[in-house]
Amino acid sequence: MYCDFYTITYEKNSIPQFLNAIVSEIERCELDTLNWIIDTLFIGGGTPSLLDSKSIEVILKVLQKNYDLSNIQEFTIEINPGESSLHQLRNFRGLGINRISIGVQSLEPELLKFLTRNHSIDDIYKTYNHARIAGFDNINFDLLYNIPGQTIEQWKRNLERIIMLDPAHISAYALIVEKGTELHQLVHDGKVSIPGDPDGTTWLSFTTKYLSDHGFSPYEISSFTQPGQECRHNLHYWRMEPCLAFGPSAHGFDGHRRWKNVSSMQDYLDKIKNGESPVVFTEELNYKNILNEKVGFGIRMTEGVDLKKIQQPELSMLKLNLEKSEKMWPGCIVKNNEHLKLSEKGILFADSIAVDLMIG
Amino acid sequence: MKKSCLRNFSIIAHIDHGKSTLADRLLEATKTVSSKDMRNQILDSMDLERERGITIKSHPIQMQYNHSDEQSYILNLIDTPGHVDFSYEVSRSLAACEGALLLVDAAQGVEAQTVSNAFLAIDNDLVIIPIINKVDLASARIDDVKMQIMELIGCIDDEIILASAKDGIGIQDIFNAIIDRIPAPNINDDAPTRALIFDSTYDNYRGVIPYVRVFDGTLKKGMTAQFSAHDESYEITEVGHFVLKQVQTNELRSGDVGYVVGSIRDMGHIEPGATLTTKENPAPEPLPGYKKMKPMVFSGLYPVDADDYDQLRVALEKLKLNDASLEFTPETSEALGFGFRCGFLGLLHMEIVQERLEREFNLILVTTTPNVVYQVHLRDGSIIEVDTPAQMPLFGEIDEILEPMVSAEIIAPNDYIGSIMKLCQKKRGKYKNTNYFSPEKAQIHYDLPLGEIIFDFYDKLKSLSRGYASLDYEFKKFSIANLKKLDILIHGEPVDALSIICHADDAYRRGVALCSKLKELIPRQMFEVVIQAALNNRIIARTTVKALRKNVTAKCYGGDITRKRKLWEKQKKGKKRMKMIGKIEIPQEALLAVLQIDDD
Ligand SMILES: Nc1nc2c(ncn2[C@@H]2O[C@H](COP(=O)(O)OP(=O)(O)O)[C@@H](O)[C@H]2O)c(=O)[nH]1
Ligand SMILES: [Mg+2]
Repeated sequence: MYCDFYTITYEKNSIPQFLNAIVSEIERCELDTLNWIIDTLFIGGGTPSLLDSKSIEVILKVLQKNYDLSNIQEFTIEINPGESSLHQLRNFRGLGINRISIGVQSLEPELLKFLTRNHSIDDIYKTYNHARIAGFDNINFDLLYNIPGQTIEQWKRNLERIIMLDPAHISAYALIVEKGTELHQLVHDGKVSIPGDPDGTTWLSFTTKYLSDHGFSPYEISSFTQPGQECRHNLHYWRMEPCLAFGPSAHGFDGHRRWKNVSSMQDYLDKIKNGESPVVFTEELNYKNILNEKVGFGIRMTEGVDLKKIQQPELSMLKLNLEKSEKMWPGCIVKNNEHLKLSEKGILFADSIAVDLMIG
Repeated sequence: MKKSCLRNFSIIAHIDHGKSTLADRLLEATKTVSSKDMRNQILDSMDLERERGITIKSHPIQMQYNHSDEQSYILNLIDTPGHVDFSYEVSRSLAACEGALLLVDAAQGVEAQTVSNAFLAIDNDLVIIPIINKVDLASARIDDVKMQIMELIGCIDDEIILASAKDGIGIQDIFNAIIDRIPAPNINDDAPTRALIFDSTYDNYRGVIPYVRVFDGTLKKGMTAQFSAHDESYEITEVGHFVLKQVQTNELRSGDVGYVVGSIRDMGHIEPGATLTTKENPAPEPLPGYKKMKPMVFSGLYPVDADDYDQLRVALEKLKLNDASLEFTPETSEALGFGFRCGFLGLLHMEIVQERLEREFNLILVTTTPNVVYQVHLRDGSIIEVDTPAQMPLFGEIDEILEPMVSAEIIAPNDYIGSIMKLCQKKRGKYKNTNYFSPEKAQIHYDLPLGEIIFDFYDKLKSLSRGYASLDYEFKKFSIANLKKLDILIHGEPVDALSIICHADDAYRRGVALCSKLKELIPRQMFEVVIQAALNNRIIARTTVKALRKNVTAKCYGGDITRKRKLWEKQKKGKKRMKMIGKIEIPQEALLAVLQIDDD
């Protein structure tokens, strides 16, 4: 069994209060984790690099008191370009943080502006250089495609420049127009438009091919890695393994139950102060939900879904759906060695295929 | 108990005129239901009945009534459904009674099922007690409605009771009329036993339970039941009456209404209309029974999950026990696999059956486009009945096709006659005549092809008359028509479940409309889907469903997992009623697309 941690912080002036709160949340946690082997830690969400190393140290101390952290292999922090000084990055490294994930998004100034990101191209290079100097070998870049106004040529140019920095890992996501966002309104009003797929290919196929050709193998639909540098933490998520989570908006999972903390910092602080639980949502998963998650997220990975690990009666149900889906999605589904996977073509329809494989 | 103290009666009326509400008042007045158990339309016990606000099944119930003559009477009431599809239920109930309360809404007046039910009662030699209900309404037109009723059943003014089931007005008059006007059943307990089976249910522990009206002789625990329809016999282990629930009694005697238990496991053995007798006192001749209603509307029922086929068969058998008009035979469709071709009395009946199968037996089903039964005369001189378009012989083998015609009766206020006639004309109707019940209310007769009216005719009629027109129809004969089979091809392959039979003049319009409706209803798939309509192997319409766009992959971390799974599971639900046809997934709505085509 595995486990990881997740924290979120916001404004600087609330840091002391926040530290108190998260410390008491950790101390109050009653989850039975005796059999867990905790091997990854992740500090992410919001702007975690606003937390200085002292604060992180406080959190680590209390974690150490409550959990066995001797098996940690991957300890990641998410940072935005321009937010952390070399000094701070050195301190992070000193605390044992060994992986850094930089939210680059794009190397085109006008696209960054459209995305309302405050960092400059210069910030990106500066933060990257500082991370290297501070001793981080395991660097990830987060990139976005499918941005209004973005061309495939720009995207290719960005990938080229990113590859020249020799990161361990690249995450490339499509920008999604979600209901209720400003972008959705803009698209709805016809003020901006989402670029369609480029001629003769798709953003995803292009990205996958380009990165593979340059030594970054895809192991998940939006994750590309140099040999042996897969993000263990994210693999835990996608393999539906348990995860502890602390802080506002944190999401945890114990193998059967998922829960979510309140997302507003103020509400989080208030609840902890009043001795209440910060959890605002919990969900008990039934065997179908668990299978559906395993399948839906499993087929997004190159390792696929290991059918040998699925029990009856779910397995029979899944196999029935599989038979049907193979007909509907010719050339998309691959089954070998009792592993269910998607072909290159299938990956393009991963969500639709997931729905058809799912048990109802 | 003296037999003269027994009364068996039904309440008959057009839908919504207040049968179930009146039944509530009678149950209350006789304290059959304690006030704490009382709720509105209490006899409508099926969930489906309560949700839809209609009575689907006949419900028998016994009441004890203390009359002003200081006698205690046993009243057996059978509440009946009012929709045209369920007139079979009505006729079965009436055969078990000596009298009927004919309820007419004071504002609506006589409507189509008022007429057809009144005639059923007259045919069964029942005493009719005419009642005008809802006299509390400001819109009540009592004098006009009285005139309509007198015209209909030939009674006199004084015989008509004014009532409000809602406000409890006229209830005492109704009790008096039940006691004074409805004859007590004949007593002949010593005669050979003859009991009419008018309904039955299935109980997992006690087997099939027939509902009977005993006409002659007696039924008791320990006797051996025999049936007119087959040779099996069963030991009777219990008899009883209906007092909301089944209540055990010592015996059922002539005139009684009740149920019989005898570990009857074979559901095919009990058929409503059959006569139950006993080995102890066997009757040489069965009771007349009643005319079997022949289903006229057919559709295929298929389990979404092929493994549910056997379960569907058992469910249909059980349902048939108390829905004798339902017919089914196994059918195989190239597109849909194994299922049943089912015969129904009408579209509402079909909907109700599907819904009951799903709810009461936990099945998920798809239904195919309903159609009527055709008589096909072949070149070689033989005649076959075709109840599914897929079975239609090849064009070259057919001499002529006959379709069922019904004689339809539409009752409506004068103002709407013009538009009603237009509608009937459009549906290939043949005008017969018009009568008047009163200066304001007309009764229009048409001969109409059943195939034209099973779909949206009733809805159209209701909307053009603002709900004031009502319809009743009965099968008349088969007559020759210029009919064609319209095939729907998907990827060049005809899909049997989508074929329809329609009039030649209508085929082109329908072909085009069907193609564009299917285009709307079939979701995008991985590849482009070509839909074509063909008449005698010639393509008359073609359209395509564009291929599915690729999915977009968003960032997906801890918090997104639940959200994403829920979205997937929601989409999965939406696809529940999908059937694979070849490599294409077709939703239930697409199979019924023809019902959604607009005529105009
Ligand atoms: N105003 C009024 N409404 C009534 C009366 N009797 C029944 N109703 C209403 O008419 C509707 C149909 O009644 P219901 O008993 O279900 O009719 P059924 O279809 O004949 O069984 C319901 O909304 C009743 O509340 C009455 O005497 N007066
Ligand atoms: Mg009713």
